[in-house]
Amino acid sequence: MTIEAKTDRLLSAAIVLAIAGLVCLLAFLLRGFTAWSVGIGIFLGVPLLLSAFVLYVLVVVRDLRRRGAL
Amino acid sequence: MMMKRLLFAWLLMVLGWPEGAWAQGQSPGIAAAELFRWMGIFAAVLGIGWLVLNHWVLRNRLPRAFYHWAMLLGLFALPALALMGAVEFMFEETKTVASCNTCHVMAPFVEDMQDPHSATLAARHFRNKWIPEKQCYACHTTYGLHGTLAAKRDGFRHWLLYVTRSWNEPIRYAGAFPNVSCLACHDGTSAFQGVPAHGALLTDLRSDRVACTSCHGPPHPTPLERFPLLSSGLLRQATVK
Repeated sequence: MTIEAKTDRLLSAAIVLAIAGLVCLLAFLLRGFTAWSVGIGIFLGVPLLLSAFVLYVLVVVRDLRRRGAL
Repeated sequence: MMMKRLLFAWLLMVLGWPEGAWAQGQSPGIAAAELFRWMGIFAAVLGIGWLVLNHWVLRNRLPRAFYHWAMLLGLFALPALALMGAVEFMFEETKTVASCNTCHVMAPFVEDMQDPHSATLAARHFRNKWIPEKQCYACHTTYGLHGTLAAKRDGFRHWLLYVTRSWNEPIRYAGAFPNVSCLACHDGTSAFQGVPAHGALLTDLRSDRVACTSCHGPPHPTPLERFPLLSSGLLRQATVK
């Protein structure tokens, strides 16, 4: 697998994580405050979103370094 | 013309003016929790749509620089807005008695508080409107604005016990109830100062060496009193383990 293809896959993974996190948050916001919606929305959704942010930043920084921009 | 009038009337109702548009007992305007909730829903839906459209549909048709700026919006700005909406919605919502009552384990406490014949401290404060709203939150938030790490840890532990149904009934308060929750309202009032024992014990009360509830309790029904409530059909899910 080329570096470009790997970067692209990691980028897609970050986006999938972000979408999953947003769907979890949406479930909490639509359902309101209940035990299961807090679990899915806050305890699962927030870590998913945070991992998406971190993964995206790491992928972009690595890509920029490889291209000599950083 | 008719449509414009209807739209204007609807906007007036949503924005909270005039107050007469609401039934007695309801708050005029949109509550902060609802506002944050809708902001979060809007940002989350927009964020999902934006990411799908940008990455899987339009990626090859967009200039590379625009794609990356669009990704920043979809991966940072909109999720941050959704997160802010969700967190603020949760903070606002957890102040309500209804949110405490979503856990069945809390039902005996809420039912007692709302019982017009109960003599517990919580019921008397509720019945006489000494605390007009958000009664649970008013007495049980001595841990700061949005909570310390220990409060978050305990909250997570309680949630885990609840969803795994692994708590033991009757539940018992593990911590110590600080007198500052009572003194924040009562200290300095003429009714408080008019009781000689309060003056004699003031230092001990302020330093939590003597609990207010040792004379004015019980704040909630005792474990034994909660058993009949727990065995009722309504609370069958909170079975004793």
